[in-house]
Amino acid sequence: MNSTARDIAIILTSLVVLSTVSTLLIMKFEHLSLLEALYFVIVTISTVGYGDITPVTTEGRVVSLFLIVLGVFSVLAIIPVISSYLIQRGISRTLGIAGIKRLREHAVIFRYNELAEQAVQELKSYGIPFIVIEESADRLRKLQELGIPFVAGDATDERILRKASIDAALGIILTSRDDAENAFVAMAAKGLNPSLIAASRLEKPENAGLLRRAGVDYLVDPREAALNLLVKSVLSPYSAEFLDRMAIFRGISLGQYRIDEASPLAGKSIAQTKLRSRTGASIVAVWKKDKLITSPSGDLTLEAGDVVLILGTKEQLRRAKALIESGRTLLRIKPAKRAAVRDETAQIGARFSRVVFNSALILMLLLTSLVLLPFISRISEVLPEDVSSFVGTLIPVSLWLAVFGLVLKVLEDLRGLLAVPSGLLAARTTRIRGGELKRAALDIACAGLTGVVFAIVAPFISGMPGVKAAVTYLGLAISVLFLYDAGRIIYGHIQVVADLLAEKLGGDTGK
Amino acid sequence: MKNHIIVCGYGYHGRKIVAALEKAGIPHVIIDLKAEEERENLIRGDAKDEDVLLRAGIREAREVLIAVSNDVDTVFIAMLSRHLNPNIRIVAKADRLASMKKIYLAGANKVISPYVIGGRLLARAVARPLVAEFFQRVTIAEDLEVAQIGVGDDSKLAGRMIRDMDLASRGLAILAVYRAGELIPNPPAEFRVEAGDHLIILGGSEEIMKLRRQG
Repeated sequence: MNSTARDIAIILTSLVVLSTVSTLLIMKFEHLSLLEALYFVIVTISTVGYGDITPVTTEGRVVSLFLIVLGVFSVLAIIPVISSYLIQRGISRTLGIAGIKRLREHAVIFRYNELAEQAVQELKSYGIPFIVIEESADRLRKLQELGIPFVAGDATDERILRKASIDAALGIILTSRDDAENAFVAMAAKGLNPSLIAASRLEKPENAGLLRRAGVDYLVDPREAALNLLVKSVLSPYSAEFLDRMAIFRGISLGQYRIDEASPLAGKSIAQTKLRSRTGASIVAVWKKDKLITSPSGDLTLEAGDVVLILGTKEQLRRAKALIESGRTLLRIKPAKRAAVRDETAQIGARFSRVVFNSALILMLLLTSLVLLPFISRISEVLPEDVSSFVGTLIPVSLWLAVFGLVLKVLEDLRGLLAVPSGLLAARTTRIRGGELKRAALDIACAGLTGVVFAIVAPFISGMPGVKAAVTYLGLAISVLFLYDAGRIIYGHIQVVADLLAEKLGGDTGK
Repeated sequence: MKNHIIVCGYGYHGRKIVAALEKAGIPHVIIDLKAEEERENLIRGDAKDEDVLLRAGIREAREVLIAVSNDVDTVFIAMLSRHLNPNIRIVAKADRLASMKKIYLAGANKVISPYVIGGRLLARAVARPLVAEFFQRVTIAEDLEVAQIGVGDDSKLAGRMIRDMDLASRGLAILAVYRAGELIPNPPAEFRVEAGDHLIILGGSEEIMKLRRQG
C-alpha cells in the first residue's frame, strides 16, 4: 500500500470510529433516536451545522466539543490528501509516470531509441516492468502515444533517477549513443543503488574500460554482436539460427531459476528431479556460486542457492518454474517473507506476553472505573453543577477510549499469534520431502481441532449469548484461515496434475 | 568458382566477415566500389549492377552476404540476387530497424540488425543476468560453445539414440535438432538421430571437435 492510500485509510477509520462513538453517546445523553443522533454528528463533523438539532445537556455539549475538534480536524486533513491523490493520478496519466503505484524489481531504460525499443520488447516477453527516462520532446510524445511509462528529465540528475524508483530497480539499461553519458548515468545510478545491474551500450570499443570503471556490469556493442551473428550464420547457420531464436524468445528460451531451501528440487540429483519427464524442459547448465557447470550429468546434486539454466518452450519453462517454486505456493512465502516468519516465530513469546499484559491493563482500567466513578460522583456533589457533569462525562469517555485502544492492540496481537501456527507449519513441513500435501493435511486437521475445541467449550457458555457469539466467530475465523491455507495447496496440486494430464494427452495425440 | 560466398561491401562488417571466411577456408568473392585495398578476389564495382553480380558468379554461388552501409542498397541487392539465383541463401545486415521487414520482403533469408540483437542482449542482462553471462561465455570465451554438427549418411551417429551417445560424461548436451528445416528443441533421450539432421550442441570446444569427427 502506498503512503497516500494509507493516510486516507487511517483518517477514514478514525472518522468512522469517532462518529460511531459520538453518535451513541449523543443518542444516550440527548435522548435522540439513532438516526437523529447520526444526522447531528454528520452535520457537525462536515462543518455544515444546520442547527436544527443542538445539544442541550451538558454531557451532550462535552461530546460535541470533542466531536467538533477531532472531527473537523479529520475532515480538513482528509481533503488535501484525497485531492492530492486525484491530482497526482491526473498528472501521472498525462506525464506517463507509472501511476502512483511504486515500481519494484523493474528495469530503468535510459533514453528511448531503436535499441531501447527492442529492449522494451524483450522485457515485455520476460514480464518485467520498466520505465524509460527521456528528455527529448519528440521521443516523449512517442512514448506517450505508445503508452510506455516514462519519467521526463535529465538522468544525470539524481532526483530524476529517484523518480524512476532506481533504489528498488533490478537494473538499468543504458542505450545512449554517447558512451560518456552512459558512464555518467551508470555511476549516478550505482551510487543510489549499489546492487543494481547496469547494462550499457558500447559505441566505441576503446571506451569499454571507462564504462567498466563507471560500474557497468554488462557491455553490449550492437555492431559487434550483429557481426558475430553474421559470421556465425555463414559458418554454422543452424547454430546461429538457434542462438538467434533463443536470444529473441522465438519458440524457445533459456530461463534462470534459483533453487531455494523450500524447493522440492533442493538436495536431489538432476536425475531424481525428473524435471525432463515432468515438464519437458531440461537443465543445460548450473551456476554453483560463481562456477558454471554446463551440460551437467544426471547425478549432479542440486543444492539450495544454486541457479539452474533451463532450456525449453515458454510453456515448458512455465511448468518448470511452477515445479521449482512449488515449495512456496500457499502463503506465497518468498525468501524474504520466510525470514519474516522465522522472526515472527521468535516473536511468539513477546506477542503472547503483550496480549496478557494488555488484557490485564483493560481489566484494571475497568476495575478502576468501578472504584473511581462513585468516588467522582461524590466529589462532584461539592462542585458546581456544570463542572461536575463535565468531569462526570470526560472521565468515562477517556476511559472508554483507552479501553478501545487497548482492545484493538490485543486483537492485532492475537491475529499475529494466529498467523504464526500456519507460518510455523509452513516452515516446518516444507523441510519434509513432499511436505506440501502434509501441510494441507495439517491445516485441515487444525481446522477440525478448532471445531472440536468449540464443541467442548460450547455447553459451558450456552448461557451467555454474547460470549457464545464471540467464541463462535473466533472459531470460524481460525478455521477459515486454516482451510484457506489447505485450499491453496490442493488447488496448486490439482493444477500441476491437470498440466501433466494435458501434456500426456496432447503428446499422445501428437505422435 | 562454384559453391562460394559473395560478400557485398568491404567496410567494418565486410572486413571481419572476410577474415572469418579466410580462416575457415571458405571460397568467397568480395564486391566493393571504393575499397582501398587491392585483393585478388575483390571485384571493384557496384553490387546493384547486374553485370557485377554475374561476374562474381552469383548463379553458381551458394550464398550472398550483404553488408553495405545503406539499407536501400541492401534491399536492391537482395532483390537482384534473388532474381538472378532463386536458390541462393541471402544473409543481410539491416542498419535501421524499420528496414528489416523490407529486406525480408526483398527475398533475404536472414536479416540481422544490431539494434535487435543489441537491445535484446541489454534487456536480458537485466532480466536474466546469469543467462546473459552464460551466453557471454558461450559466444566470447574460447572454452565453451554452441556448435552445429551435421550428421552425414556414413556418420557413426546416424540411427543412434541420444541416450546411447554417452554425451553427459563428456560435458555435452544436445540443445536442439534441425530436421528438414524444422527445429526440434530439447529432444528427449529416446530421440533417434538420422542422417541429414543437424545437431545443436553445447559443450567444451575440444569435446565438440571430437564428436564432429565422428559425425
